[in-house]
Amino acid sequence: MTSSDTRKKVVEIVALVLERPVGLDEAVTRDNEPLWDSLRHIDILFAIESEFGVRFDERTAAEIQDVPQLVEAIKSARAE
Amino acid sequence: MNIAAPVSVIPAASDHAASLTNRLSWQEVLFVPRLDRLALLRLKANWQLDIFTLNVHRNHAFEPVARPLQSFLEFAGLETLPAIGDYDDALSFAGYRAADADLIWLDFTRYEGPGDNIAQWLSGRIQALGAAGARRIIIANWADGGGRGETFNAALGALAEKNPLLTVLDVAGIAADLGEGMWDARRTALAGTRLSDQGCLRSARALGALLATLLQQNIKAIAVDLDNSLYQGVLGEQGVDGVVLTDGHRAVQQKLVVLSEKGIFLVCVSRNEPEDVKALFAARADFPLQAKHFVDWRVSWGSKASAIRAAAEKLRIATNAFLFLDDNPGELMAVGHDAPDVQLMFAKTASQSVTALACYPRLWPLKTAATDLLRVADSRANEARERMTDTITDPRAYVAALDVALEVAAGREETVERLHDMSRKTNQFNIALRRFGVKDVMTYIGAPGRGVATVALKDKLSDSGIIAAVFVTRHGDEVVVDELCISCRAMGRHLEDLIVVSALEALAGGAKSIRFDYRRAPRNTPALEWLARFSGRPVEGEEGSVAMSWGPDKAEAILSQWPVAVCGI
Repeated sequence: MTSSDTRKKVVEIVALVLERPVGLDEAVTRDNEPLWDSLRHIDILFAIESEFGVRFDERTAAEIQDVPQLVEAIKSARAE
Repeated sequence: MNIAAPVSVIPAASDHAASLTNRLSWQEVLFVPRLDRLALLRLKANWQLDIFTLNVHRNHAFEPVARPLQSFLEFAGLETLPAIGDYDDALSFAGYRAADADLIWLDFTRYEGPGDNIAQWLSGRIQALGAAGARRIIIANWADGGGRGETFNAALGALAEKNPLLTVLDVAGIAADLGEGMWDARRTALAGTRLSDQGCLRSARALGALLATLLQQNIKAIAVDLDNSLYQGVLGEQGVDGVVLTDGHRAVQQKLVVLSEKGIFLVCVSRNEPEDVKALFAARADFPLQAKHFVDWRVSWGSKASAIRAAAEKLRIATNAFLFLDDNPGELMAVGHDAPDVQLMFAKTASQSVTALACYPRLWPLKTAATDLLRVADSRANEARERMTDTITDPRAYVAALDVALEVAAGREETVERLHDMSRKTNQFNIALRRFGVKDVMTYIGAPGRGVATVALKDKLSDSGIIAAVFVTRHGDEVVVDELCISCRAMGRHLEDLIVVSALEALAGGAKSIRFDYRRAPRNTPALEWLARFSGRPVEGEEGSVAMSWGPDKAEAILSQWPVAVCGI
């Protein structure tokens, strides 16, 4: 899966959890998106871990703020 | 480019066929051993949903369960937006507002002391919740094994046996199945619960099935296909010894046997030659499911929907109480089209069937009542009774030949669940259709001016258990029958007058008149026709009441006409 495919899949998951369309290049973050609260953050993390077969450590999981950081975390987890 | 949130695996469509296809495809997501949160998120229902209210009282996060719960509820035709309270170890129920169901969702490791002490404290909180107006209470038990958990769960189970409002959500069973996979210590601080993703998803599935059973009518019968559903292969091609009982199909058959033993009717609905099917069950002693487990056989090359309708008529149950299990989506679609209220189970693989049979909504009774266990034997006896009506035309001679005995019991707390079931499920012989909840039923037990009686029936062919319920309110010399239900299994035996009079003898001592409230519905014509005949008054309009004079002489006159033993009055 290319980095672009990963991003596309991550955006799809974020859109599903937030229950609203999300643009592929939209700068959606936990700060600027009220729907992305701590509990939906868990939904996003669980769904991504399951979809990509990775496990984020607790610190990474807590610090992720946006789609690029999710993509980066997937890449790092795969490299481990 | 935008990526839309509702990315459904099936194109949205509003017609019935699209909804059927969608529901079949959902089963490949809902009934798999390992659930997938993302696949659940993608499911979008395109059928009608009934909204209900749910309160959640908790001391750890419920939200990771709430979202997948939606999918399991939607599959059952239900929808809710749970009112999730603040974290509250003390269960104070501050600002309580009654809902259709209350869930107590606690991480019991947060409490100190022996398990039975915690159960005792919880018992008090359950009482408080009941007093505040809760209609049904679900408690997730203690998921971590260990001594304290086991002691607590045993005490909680005993509590639920005694309290008809209370049902246990067995998360301990899920934990036993998942093992360490139930927990995710890394995620506890962030998620607010020690449960893992799988722990949350499996809890959501169990809770969805339980809520559907609590809020909807139970499935009473499974129409079972044979080829590639109960075994691998095609009987007509491979023969009796050629079809293969795989481990997966053995597990499917074992699940069906357990359901049969819990009172679910099994009906064989197969496109095969009847002689081949007979030979199959005669020869295959290795099958856990044997001919004796089926109450009806519909083996032909005709329509399966017609076969299910004929079986429903024979068993005297509605087609919406039927689940049809088949590996062929075409057959499932055809039944869904011709008999739209039949539930469909897609037996795509044996593994999917096993999980679906374990988790399908409305399938597993909350508590297996004695009456449920009697249902299958009683149905078989009905065939013999029908043969007798062919040869004996006088109703009294027919009743005498059967050695009928009735047992009347008034105001017994242990019958609350059965009374609730009868009020909720009886359609044909239900006069006022009040559909009493558990709490409504309890107001008829022991309350001044109110009463309720059950009538149990047995004859020389079978024990039918409790088959009638009569709820009354007394107003001076008059007794008002608020609700009168007779199970369809007891209908057609010419016993309606006797059953009602026996119950009234227990409830209406000293009354000078009896008034029956009634309400007309599409299916309760038999009850209203009986009422018009019994009371000698016209039963007209959509609702109303009819009164008739009453007294011990009148009751005695009716009872003495029938050669039936009545006890318990």
